[in-house]
Amino acid sequence: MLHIKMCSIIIKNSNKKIGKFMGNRTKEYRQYFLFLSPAMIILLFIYANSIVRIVWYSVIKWKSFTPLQEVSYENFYKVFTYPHFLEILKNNFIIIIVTIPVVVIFALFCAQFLYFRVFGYRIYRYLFFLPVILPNVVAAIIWSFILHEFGVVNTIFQKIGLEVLTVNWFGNPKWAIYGLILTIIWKDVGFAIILFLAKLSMVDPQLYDAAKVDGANEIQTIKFITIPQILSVIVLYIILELIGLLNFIFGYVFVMTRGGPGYSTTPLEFLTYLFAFRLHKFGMANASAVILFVITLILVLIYFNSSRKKEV
Amino acid sequence: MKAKIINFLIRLMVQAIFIIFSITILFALYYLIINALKSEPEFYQSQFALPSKIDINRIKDVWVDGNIGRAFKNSLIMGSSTVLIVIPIGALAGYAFSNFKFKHNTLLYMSVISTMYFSPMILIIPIFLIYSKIMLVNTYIGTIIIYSGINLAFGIFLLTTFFRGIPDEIIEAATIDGASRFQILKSIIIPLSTPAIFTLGLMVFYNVWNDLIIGVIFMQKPEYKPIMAAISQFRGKWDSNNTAIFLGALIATIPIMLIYGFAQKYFIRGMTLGSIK
Repeated sequence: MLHIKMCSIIIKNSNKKIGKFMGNRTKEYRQYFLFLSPAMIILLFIYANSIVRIVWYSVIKWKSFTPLQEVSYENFYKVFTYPHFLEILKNNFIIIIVTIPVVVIFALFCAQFLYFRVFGYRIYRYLFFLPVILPNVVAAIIWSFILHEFGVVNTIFQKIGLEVLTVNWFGNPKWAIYGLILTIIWKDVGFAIILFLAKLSMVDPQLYDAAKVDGANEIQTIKFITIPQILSVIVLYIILELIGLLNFIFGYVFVMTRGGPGYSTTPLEFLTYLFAFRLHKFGMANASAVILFVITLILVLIYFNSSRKKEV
Repeated sequence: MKAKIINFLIRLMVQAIFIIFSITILFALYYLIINALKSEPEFYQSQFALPSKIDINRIKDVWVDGNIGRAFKNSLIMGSSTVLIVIPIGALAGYAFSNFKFKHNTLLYMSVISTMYFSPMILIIPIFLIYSKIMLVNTYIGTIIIYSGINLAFGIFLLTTFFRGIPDEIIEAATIDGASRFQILKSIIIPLSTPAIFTLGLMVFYNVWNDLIIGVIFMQKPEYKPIMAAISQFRGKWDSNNTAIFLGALIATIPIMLIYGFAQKYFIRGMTLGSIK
């Protein structure tokens, strides 16, 4: 997911004129396709082909692994009326609604004070970035042990006599999803910090000097200077994180909870996996893949639209 | 004066929060390392204590018998092959997108770039069905093709962006000297773009190394599993061996930390590429 965020910062208006070659237009065209063809062959096979197929597979009937050529919307109907479908949407919703505000607010706070060069800011900047590069499977393994029933957190609470606070994170359907969210926040916040910090370095420092003269404290400067100044990056980050939380959390779920207990930590992405490779319901798997695809497509279009308007 | 006191208090609070966050990070790494080097009974005694001794035989056991060595090699092979595929193909496409001006260039570019935002989950079912028919499940080549496809958009994006920044004058001068398109790409643009290509190579390798989903589904035989799939699916006598899981995770992290240690500049530069300009 990292690479996606990386580039996304950069997407700019792509109609920058460059080709200044004179010469035969047809020859140009042929060369253009020649240069593009290797990439296109791979992308057509991996993406275009798959997307067409999932759409097609989702409207035909299946008998175990063989498609029967009969069109119906039954698969979608079955997914929407699947007993746990609402719970799964709720899981996605909780993950998004908790993670995004926490990451954004915490990252803004950290970025602001790293920008102000609090004592030890170099070390902090280095440290805060470590979870970002840690492989997410490894982060998930570490945190599943830390939050385990007899793991670090519960042991510490027991030792200091706060046994009321001990929670069986992954055994309890109510808490499991928050264990997952905690890990995701811990891992994602560093990237947001670096991103906001990079944008902050372009803000006119005189604004902060002026605020100081006016007697504003440092928390107020976040509200009145930083947020308005870097709003465009914050908005882009939120859309990206939305896309990421819908599409790239398979690793965490697979390692930490496998979607359980019950369906309490299964997001839409993982549901597709369950349908296809655990429950062997191929029609429903394709239908839920199509649902995921359509939601993401809408978000990507919104993202492209807003990143083109606001130069990042 | 009042503002100064408030700011001092704020700074104290900031330090407290920063230190707490730093501790969670340092502790997570400490926890990973010490438990990776412990034996299972020691882990049950205390999960916080340092290991009493480092048992080389245990490490060897996990590496050989736990299949981590094999998985490590698989990931190395697939990661570097994917890098070697994505760089030239991405450079060709990046050149096409940055140096030709056609009516639907932008639209095509945007559709190509958009592919990187979708979960690999949407590709897996159709490609799995195709691969089962033509026997590409459990093969390096089949999996490398998928990895290349998933990472290609990012490669094209990075290189297109970088190529656009190369001054037109250099390219025009070469054109006047009679260089062909391909010669320009090969002998002018590529040498000027080594930092971008290096960053791209690192990131693609990093992505393949960290992949779980493709490895789990397309490499089902233990001897082909990539590293992340192997450590998340320990089997047999390693199944509930906690410290073996820690050790696997540590082994999987070491190359990433090494790359980050040596090429931190490229990692961060890649990330902030667009925002600095």
